[in-house]
Amino acid sequence: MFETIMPSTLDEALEYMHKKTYSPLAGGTDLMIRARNWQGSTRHFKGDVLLISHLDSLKRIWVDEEAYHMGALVTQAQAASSKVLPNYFKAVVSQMATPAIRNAATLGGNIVNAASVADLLPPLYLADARLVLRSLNETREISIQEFIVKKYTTSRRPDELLTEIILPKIKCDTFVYEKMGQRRASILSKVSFLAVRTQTDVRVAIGALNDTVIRSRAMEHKIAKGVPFDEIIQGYEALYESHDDKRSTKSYKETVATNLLKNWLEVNHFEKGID
Amino acid sequence: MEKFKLNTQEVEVPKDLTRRLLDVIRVDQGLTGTKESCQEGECGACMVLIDDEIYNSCLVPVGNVIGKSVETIEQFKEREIYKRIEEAFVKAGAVQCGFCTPGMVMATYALLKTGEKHSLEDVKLALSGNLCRCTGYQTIFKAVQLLQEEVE
Repeated sequence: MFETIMPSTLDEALEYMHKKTYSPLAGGTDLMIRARNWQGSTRHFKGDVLLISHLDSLKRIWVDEEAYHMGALVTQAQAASSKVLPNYFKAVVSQMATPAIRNAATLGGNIVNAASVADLLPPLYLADARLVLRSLNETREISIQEFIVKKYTTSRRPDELLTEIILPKIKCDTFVYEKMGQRRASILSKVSFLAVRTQTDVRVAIGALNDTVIRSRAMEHKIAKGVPFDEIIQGYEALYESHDDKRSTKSYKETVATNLLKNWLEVNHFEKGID
Repeated sequence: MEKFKLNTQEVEVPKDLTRRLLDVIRVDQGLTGTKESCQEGECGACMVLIDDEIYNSCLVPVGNVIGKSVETIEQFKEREIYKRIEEAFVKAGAVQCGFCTPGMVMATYALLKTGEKHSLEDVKLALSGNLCRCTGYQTIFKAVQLLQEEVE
């Protein structure tokens, strides 16, 4: 039988995590499903559980000159209705799951889960987000790329808790977010495409296709310079590493990703370059 | 002993804090208006209000509602707004087997309480976490749109 602890403060939570390995459990929208069992019976948690959803210090959203800061326990609903977060981020988070799930699911949960289809990851890669990890004796800040090692694997140590997401302010004149799935809402992505542009720069993130988000600064520079579309598309296609899965085939996902990219290039007339 | 409010009663939280709120409601407290179906947050049959916001109770560990107020359909049906929702559902023929209905009513309430007028697209998104295997949804959308007509 597993042990369930409900620490009263963040510091107390970190003390528990220092002594033993726990699964931090916040909104429950992922872990409660993984621990599923018959009606009325004890959940199937493989290890000990630390309930953290009540830790109010991790539920804040604030802004400074350089970045938007979000506590790891900010819910998706809270982020979607935020008056301060940027629109490209809110467009992503407001299309995740369903209204009731968004009330429970936290930003931190989606990130730490590190699924290849996690919809929050493309905007974080796009803006070169940084994450704050705290343990009893240390606070460290790492990039989203350093955090996500591969599908379902992160560089979080067992004694660390993700406490904060730092989304640097980026210039964004216009953005496009396309989430492709079997239905319009309440769906896991087959492919997602997020792109922002300014007068002189572009950023592109392709989600759910590979095990981790596709982002290439070199390709973005080429788009801005007006390199021919064929070369851009070939460049991105060389980065595709998808495979058939239960949601879709490799061929479908890669074709859709290329079509979304091509359409965005054409609509924005990038053949002329903006650099 | 930690407690939470379930409808009008103060209820003791079970020792196992990861026990699903749904099991506390249906099994421990015998309130069967809240339904269990998919067990994974897809269908919305187990939808309840926690501090007046909708949640899927199959995914809520009961420890997460300590000190909060949980309302199920048994209590919600006493509210004035429930009577309006019921009337609209009856008028539009939005109920067949009724299994999804408590959840549909909760999701409808979450949309109505914004006090704004919403498009059909908004209605569909608001009900996107609730599955119905009988009606084909159109009568339910119709019911919610009837309620929308009352919004100034």
